Amino acid sequence: MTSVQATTATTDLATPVVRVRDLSIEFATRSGRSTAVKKMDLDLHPGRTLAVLGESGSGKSATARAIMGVLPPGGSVTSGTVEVHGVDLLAMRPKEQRRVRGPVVGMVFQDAQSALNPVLPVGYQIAEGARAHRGMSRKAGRELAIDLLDRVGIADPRRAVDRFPHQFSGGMRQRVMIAGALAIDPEVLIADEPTTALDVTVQSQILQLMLDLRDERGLALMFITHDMGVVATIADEVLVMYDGHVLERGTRDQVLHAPEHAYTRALLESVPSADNRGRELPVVAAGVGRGEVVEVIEPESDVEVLSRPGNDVVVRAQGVGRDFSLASGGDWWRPGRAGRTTAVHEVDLTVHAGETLGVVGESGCGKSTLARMLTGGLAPTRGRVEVLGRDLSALTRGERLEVLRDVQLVHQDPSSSLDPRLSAGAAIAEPLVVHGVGDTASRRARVLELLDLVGLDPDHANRLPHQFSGGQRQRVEVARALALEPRLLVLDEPVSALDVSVQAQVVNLLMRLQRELDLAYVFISHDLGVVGHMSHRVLVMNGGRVVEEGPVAQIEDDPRHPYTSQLLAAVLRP
Amino acid sequence: MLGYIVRRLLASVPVLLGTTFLIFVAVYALPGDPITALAGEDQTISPAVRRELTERYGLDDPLLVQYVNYLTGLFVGDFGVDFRGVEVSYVIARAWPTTVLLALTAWVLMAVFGIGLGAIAGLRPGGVVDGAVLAATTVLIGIPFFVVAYVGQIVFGLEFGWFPTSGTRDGWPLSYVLPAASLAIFGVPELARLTRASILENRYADYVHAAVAKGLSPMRIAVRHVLRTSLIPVVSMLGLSLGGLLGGAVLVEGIFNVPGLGYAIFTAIGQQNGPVVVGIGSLVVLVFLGVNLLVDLMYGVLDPRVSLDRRG
Repeated sequence: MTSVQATTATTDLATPVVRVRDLSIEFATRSGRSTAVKKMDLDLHPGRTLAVLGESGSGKSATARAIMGVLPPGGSVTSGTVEVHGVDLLAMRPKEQRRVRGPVVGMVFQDAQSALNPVLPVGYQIAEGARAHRGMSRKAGRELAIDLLDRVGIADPRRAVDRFPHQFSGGMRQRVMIAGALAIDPEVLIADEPTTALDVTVQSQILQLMLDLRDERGLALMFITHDMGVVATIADEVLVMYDGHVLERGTRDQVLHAPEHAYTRALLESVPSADNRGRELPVVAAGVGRGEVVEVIEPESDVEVLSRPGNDVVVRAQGVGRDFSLASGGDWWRPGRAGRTTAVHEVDLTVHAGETLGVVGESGCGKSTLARMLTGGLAPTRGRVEVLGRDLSALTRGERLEVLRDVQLVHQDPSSSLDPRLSAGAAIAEPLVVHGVGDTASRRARVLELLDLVGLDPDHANRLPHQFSGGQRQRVEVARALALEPRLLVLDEPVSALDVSVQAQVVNLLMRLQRELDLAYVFISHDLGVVGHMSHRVLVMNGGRVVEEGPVAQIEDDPRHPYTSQLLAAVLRP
Repeated sequence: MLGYIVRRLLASVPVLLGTTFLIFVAVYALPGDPITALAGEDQTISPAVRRELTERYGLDDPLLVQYVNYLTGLFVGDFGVDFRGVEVSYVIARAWPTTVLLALTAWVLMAVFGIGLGAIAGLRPGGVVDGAVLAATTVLIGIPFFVVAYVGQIVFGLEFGWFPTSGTRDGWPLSYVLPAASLAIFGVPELARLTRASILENRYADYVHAAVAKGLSPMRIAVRHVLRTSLIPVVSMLGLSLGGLLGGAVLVEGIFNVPGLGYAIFTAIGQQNGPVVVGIGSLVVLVFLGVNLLVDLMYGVLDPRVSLDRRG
């Protein structure tokens, strides 16, 4: 009898806390049922991190949500088991499930802004789980919340405990969220892209926190991400998902350095960085793959194909800056205290034909304000912007419109910048109509030409934005920007909302267009990798100022400004 | 916070001036002659009496002068004297407790049924209660509420004899049930639907999922997370509906002969008794402004994201 117990004890160390077997998840859609996850297996071990890597729609979030019982409406588990300490969670009655979800398995959500209740103090939200499960008093709950806030690195926890979520920054909110999951002292923590919405420097702090907590408490960590760099930092084991199927699983080093599946290889190679600078990236043909069959299009050649900048100056900014007024309070008889904030101090920049100027910085550094000033959408408070040698502020309205044809802006998120009721063709033709270029027939011909140029099927001109994938929508956006044959594109985070494989397609497209059309780019991004991949020169912004400027190689290898070093240090590499 | 309240009170001054002036003008513009109305159509009044009355009430003064005189009185708490020689403040003092009781009863009924039904419907969409609430509210919205009042009076008052049909002799709650219910019933559909829609919007919010992931019980999640956030717009509507209840009280008090402010203003309009109409009208406006302020203060308490001090 004793020997049996001993055996059980030793196997306990090796047995996972959570064992998922044969899990299938379906969603009810308008056109019937679609499979989100197909026969998924996974194990979570104490003190170890399993990274679930995949792009949007791969089923990685659905898996986590099924374990926690929070599938979105329409989603349901159609087969399989989720064993927690050997007992199937899915077969339990709701009351028993609640003794597992929370106390044994906790979850941290992607967007702490929406995953924290806006009208309850953070202290309450951190303690509520512990209070419900352990019958803790309000006062004890408060002390627990203060302890945990302190543990996750929030300054002055005694005051922070009574604050509301909107009074914290994004990174701090994510810490609060983690504290809330830890309060019930779970053995397993499932984290669904907890750092995706955060700046790189904040991201590395949160990852470090999660690793520390894992080691301190022996947590089994399931970390869902689409980011290879995050995988490299946090994972022990990796599971690669595509279209609801597990394509590959193994240790971190196996998957990152000797991937077996072509899709994993393509994913790794398609991450743009200074290492594969100027080279065409491999592309995963979207929508072709189903399960094991994923089509990967390798680049034709492995040589650098970056365009050669010319000497013509396309845009020049001199001491350009912008202030915003902050209205606070006030009434019709008593104006409020008008504050002013400086979004951009004084920026000088020059971009030549065929050249890409990368602008890097974290949220709130003034990079989008700069973009709007360069495209004439926002008048600078000081300094001047010259397009092809003509000062924008010295022009009449008509002349400005004429000059600004040469400068076009591409937005970050094509699903919100394209009118959902306007077909792709009509969207692309719009600038032509506004500027009175050509007649109906010639515009139509131009639209078809542009669709072809950006690699879309001209037959799809009549499609509406929702009938395209994310990457295709961004192509439509680029085609629209190119309609007036501009000399400069200002690209404001053009690939940030896209999956890695789709991002590679758009990066390839942008580089090809630059070569063919001798375009100048101002490429704004928070991602040093993309910027390093396709820029000729880089400008690093922080707090509305340019802290450093130079060729990519110099910035990456020999940063002069401490902020640049800090940014580079926070970049996670696979 | 205090600064906000002071600013709001100051801002309500022009509103009060504007509305009282409009009521004043409206009463002034009524066809006919108050003195004749007071004496009765068939009575003859000697020119001397007429002159004496006209002078006492300042009926010959220009409109603006009359208005300013009235306001000056109002400022020191003098609502004036009506054409029968009765102090308007006495009329109000006698009638207001009845109306407040009626309106509050109706208000509570409305809140309980509106929010209750809306919450059940919203928490179990597609269920029996949900279907019944949706169907019943559609029907109710289509029926004018005085029809409901009369039908209620006939069915529950006359046929079944459960409640008195008129007056307040049986006191609260018996005498107030029918009038309050008919008054409440016109607010219930809107309130129920708003509650339901608001809950549906928040039911699948990320923070509700986060609460599920903490293993909280459905009851706790519904009360603490879903209802707490969903009721914010509902509370503001409930506050504003108090104004509608005061307006509705005029008709309901007329139908059920409840001797409240509504009944007083109802009879005063018939008698062209201007001072009473203007007095009660101003009072209703004042109450409405006060309730509005309270609702906005509540909003700040319920939703910490709303900063009252920074709002214009």
